[in-house]
Amino acid sequence: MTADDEPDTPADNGASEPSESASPDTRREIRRYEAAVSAGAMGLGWANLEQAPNGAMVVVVHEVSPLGRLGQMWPVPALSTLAFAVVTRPALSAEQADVPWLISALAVAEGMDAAGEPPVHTAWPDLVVDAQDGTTRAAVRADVQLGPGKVRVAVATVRVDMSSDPDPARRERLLEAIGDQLDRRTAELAEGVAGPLAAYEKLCSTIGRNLKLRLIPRGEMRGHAAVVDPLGRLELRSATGMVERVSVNQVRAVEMLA
Amino acid sequence: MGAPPDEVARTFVQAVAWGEHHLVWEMLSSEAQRVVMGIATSRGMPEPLAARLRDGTATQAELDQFRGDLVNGFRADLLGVDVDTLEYDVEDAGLEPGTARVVLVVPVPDPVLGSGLPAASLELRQESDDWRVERLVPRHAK
Repeated sequence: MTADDEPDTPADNGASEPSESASPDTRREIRRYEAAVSAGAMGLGWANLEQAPNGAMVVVVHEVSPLGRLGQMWPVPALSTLAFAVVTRPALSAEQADVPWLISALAVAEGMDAAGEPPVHTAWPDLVVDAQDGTTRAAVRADVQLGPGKVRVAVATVRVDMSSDPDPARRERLLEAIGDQLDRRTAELAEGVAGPLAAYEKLCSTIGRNLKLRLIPRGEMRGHAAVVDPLGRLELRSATGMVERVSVNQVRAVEMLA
Repeated sequence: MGAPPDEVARTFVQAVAWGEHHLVWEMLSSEAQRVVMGIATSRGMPEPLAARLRDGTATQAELDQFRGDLVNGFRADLLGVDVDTLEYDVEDAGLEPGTARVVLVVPVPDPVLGSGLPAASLELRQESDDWRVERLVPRHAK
């Protein structure tokens, strides 16, 4: 990957001028910005206005508005964050619009592992956490746009906490490793969701736990997190066998109980 | 002799919160079960299905669906109530023998407001030495 060019003037959309490059290994198209509203917004703009190809990546050094799921602010300062977005065009039906959330988190966890980072788990629906102490290491957000009966485009925004070591070489390693995993998992979706979702479950620290979910707009749901169903919903089972399925956009907060 | 009314109420509320749909059903009094079935049929449940549920010949999926809906109905009555902090106050004054009322109280630390705010109440009836739930009365109901 080439080094960033320092932008001189901001573009009309509020972002700095991008520098474009292609990954030497994957020929991935990459746009890099010193500053932008968010990586996801730039990725969506690229996808919608310029037909960004599958795998196109936007890297932003300083996000002005690093919002994740439900508009929650990413708490780590920009200089200690690796923030990027990847445009994907997965083979998913409209009913499977939650799946990109899980695929994104899975790719981050697998990419961090491939890059030699300490072990991590996914935490349904949007987090990647330290396997030892459960602290948040990364968060994902999936902006999914539907076409007739199918997912037209999904832009995965990824933010990784780099505060322990903001070394630029580590950033590039992670960027490439996570991007590669996301490409691989997205391609696998053409064969069905079973394989990627099984891999997600295997890495997911939420599965097998008793949970209290706070729902939108109100209310709560409790149960034992059993599996993720083919639509990406979390299945909660009660002691008497009642099964409830919760989609990503129904959940305000997840609390793990003893 | 079974558990006292406050313990029965606590178990019932936790069963509702955790979706233990068969336990919730079994904790209802026979009269409450009859009323629930009546409400279900009045709201459009097909009579053959109601008959299967009454006879015990319904499929597991039908049973799960019906009792799951029942649990979600109770959850709606308890919406916004933090069931983990509830206190259970038994009232038996002025009630007919074999019945009890348990008030579900949300504790309030401010002494000016009193010791707690009632969120709902459970009316219980004794059946075969056990306390069963007759009805859940939410705070907003009269």
